[in-house]
Amino acid sequence: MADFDIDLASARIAEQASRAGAEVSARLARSGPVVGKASSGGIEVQVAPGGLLTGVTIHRSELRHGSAVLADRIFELAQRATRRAGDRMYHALSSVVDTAQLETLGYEPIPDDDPDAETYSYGESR
Amino acid sequence: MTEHTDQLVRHGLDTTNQFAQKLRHDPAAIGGARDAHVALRTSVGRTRDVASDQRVSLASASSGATADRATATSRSLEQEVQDLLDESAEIEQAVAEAAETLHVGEIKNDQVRDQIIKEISASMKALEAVKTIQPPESRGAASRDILMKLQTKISQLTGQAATFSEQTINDLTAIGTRLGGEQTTSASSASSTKVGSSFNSNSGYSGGSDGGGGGGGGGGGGGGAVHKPRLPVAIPPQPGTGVAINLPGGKQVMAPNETAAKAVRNALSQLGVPYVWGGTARGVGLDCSGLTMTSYQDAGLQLPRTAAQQTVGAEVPSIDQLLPGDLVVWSGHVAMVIGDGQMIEAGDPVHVSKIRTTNAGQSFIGFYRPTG
Repeated sequence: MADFDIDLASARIAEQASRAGAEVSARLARSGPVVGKASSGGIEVQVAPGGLLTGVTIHRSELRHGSAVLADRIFELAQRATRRAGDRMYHALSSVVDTAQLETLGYEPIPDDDPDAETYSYGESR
Repeated sequence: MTEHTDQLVRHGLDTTNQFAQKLRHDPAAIGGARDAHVALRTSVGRTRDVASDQRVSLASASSGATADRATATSRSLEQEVQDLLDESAEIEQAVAEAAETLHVGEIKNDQVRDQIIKEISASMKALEAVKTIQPPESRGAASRDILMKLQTKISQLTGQAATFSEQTINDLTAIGTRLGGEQTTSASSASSTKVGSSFNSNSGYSGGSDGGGGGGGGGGGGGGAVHKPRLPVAIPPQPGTGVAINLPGGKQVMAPNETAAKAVRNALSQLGVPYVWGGTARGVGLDCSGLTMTSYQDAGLQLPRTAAQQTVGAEVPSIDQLLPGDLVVWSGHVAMVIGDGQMIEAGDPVHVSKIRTTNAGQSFIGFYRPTG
């Protein structure tokens, strides 16, 4: 009977992880980096997976609503964009990474009938 | 990266490894001790029978005070041998129980360890995936989330392992206490009756020395016994491979290779054969491991004799990856998967049943593909 081989276990984990990493990079190299976008009227918000804000554009016509309304709308759009980025990450990674791990990262699929679901394409295939 | 993984694995498995060390035992030695004990009991039993026969013939053949004294001595000797036998049965029972307890503890610890490895592996994959997120500034938070979750998971699992380990040790202590609490009287009483060496001289047979020899030999011999080994994971069947088998219901299934297919056909040919404990006579009487062993033997693959030893080849990771010819192994039972969600097992008689992982109080060890 063979004793438990910790070196082997560790090497196997490292190997599996690096293979998973390679697969994900290959996949993202094809599709481009995953971002989440949401826009409404003249405001457009872009975030990285996880919610880091990477771009905000505001058309001057939106300024007339006043600063409180504007702040609320940016906030709301940022949340929507974050969910969308999570949805895209979920679809990009679900075949490689455990669902439980994706959940920890906040990457969850958005149901089709959810108001945050993307109703139009950004020119990227999913 | 590899170095970090290594550290993480070592750290994460530290506790379960310590428990594994604590629970470490030599299953072959325990099996040997138990077998030797059985042998001793059998030979002591024979001594009693021989003594009894001799007393009867002595009483019928002779008369007088000397003969009466001799028969009386013999009777008390027989009684003491009987006491010894009763005592011996208790010890034997306790050894078997202790072996089973240790074994269950070990399996549970192994399961926790497997779970920890799985968690670490999943987290490492997720960490690798996180590395691809753009821009790099958003990777930190994600990695932290994964590692914190992993830490929580590992400490949870380690707690479980600690509980199992403690339970095992408590159970063993209980068995030991029970045995030690009942004062043994056999050792002193056995020597209280003095019997002339000539009394048994014509039997040409000495029970005591037989048993002693058995004990010494048993400890060193054997191998494997009840244990969950670490095996490679069975690979799923590849396109264009497989050997067809027709099941009794008319359904056709694919075995991974010719050996497995033959083994399944061989096993199916034994349907209806009665159960005989320790039986390996095909068509006459089989026990569970006898069925699987002889079926593979006739297909050209030698399996170990007992159920718990038939954990060979490759481990099949889940029930939905089972293929015809795979073995379902418990601590004291084994069955062969025939496909279509069914397995064949030697109950009384040999029959086909649905695949399951429970078996009347025994611990489930795993699924194995001997040809893997």
